[in-house]
Amino acid sequence: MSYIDTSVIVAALDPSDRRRDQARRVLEGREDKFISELVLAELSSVLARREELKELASELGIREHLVLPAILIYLIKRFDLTYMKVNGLVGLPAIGELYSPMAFAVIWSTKLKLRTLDLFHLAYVKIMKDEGSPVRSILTADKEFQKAKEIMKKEIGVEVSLIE
Amino acid sequence: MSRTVPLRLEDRDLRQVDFLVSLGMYKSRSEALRELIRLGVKSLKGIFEVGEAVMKLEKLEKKEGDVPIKLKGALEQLLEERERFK
Repeated sequence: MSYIDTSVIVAALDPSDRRRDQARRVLEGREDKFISELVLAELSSVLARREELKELASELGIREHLVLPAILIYLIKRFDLTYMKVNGLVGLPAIGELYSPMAFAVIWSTKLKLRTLDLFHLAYVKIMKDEGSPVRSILTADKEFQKAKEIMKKEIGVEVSLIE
Repeated sequence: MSRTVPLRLEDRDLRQVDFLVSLGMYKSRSEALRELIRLGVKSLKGIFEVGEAVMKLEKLEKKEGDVPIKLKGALEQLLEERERFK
């Protein structure tokens, strides 16, 4: 089972990117593929700013504000992705309760030393694993994740696989 | 055209339907349920619209032979934006 970073889905939809074919192969593979709410949010942000969305809404005969959920559902179905929710709040000393991905980001930031969004993606993977999902790898087209490759393998037992 | 559909309801839902009938808002359970279902379907219009659009995207893919969402230059843009969150 793999966690799919937003960059892989975007790469698969980007005809100008050299990673497109590999991203497509990964997404069309038979392995179980999971995404988080962060992937949905990032993907929505990318899609919402594309001019093509208006044309597509008109072509599909759908109101403009509904084209985005339609595309998300289509992509989830098309690439057989499973959205996985994470639960709960975690208490941090002297801070109080935080939503679990945020708490992980705070706790692990000094170990991982990643950019905020990368840190959040890894937080989701860690929490999914803690909640019992057999996540073996995180697939990404973002080379920044490589910085956390060793520590993710050693401390969380998850491979970081880069699509290049 | 109308059809008969067998329907099993929870007691509490049926009590509410009967209450509307007893108020004279509907002549019968059947009429009440027809109207309530019509209202429910109407309120879900957006969901049906999205569902139909998903089916159209699938048809478009069959016609074009590829995923009909093409985001030229989007990956580089995404990766650049992530840089802003360093």
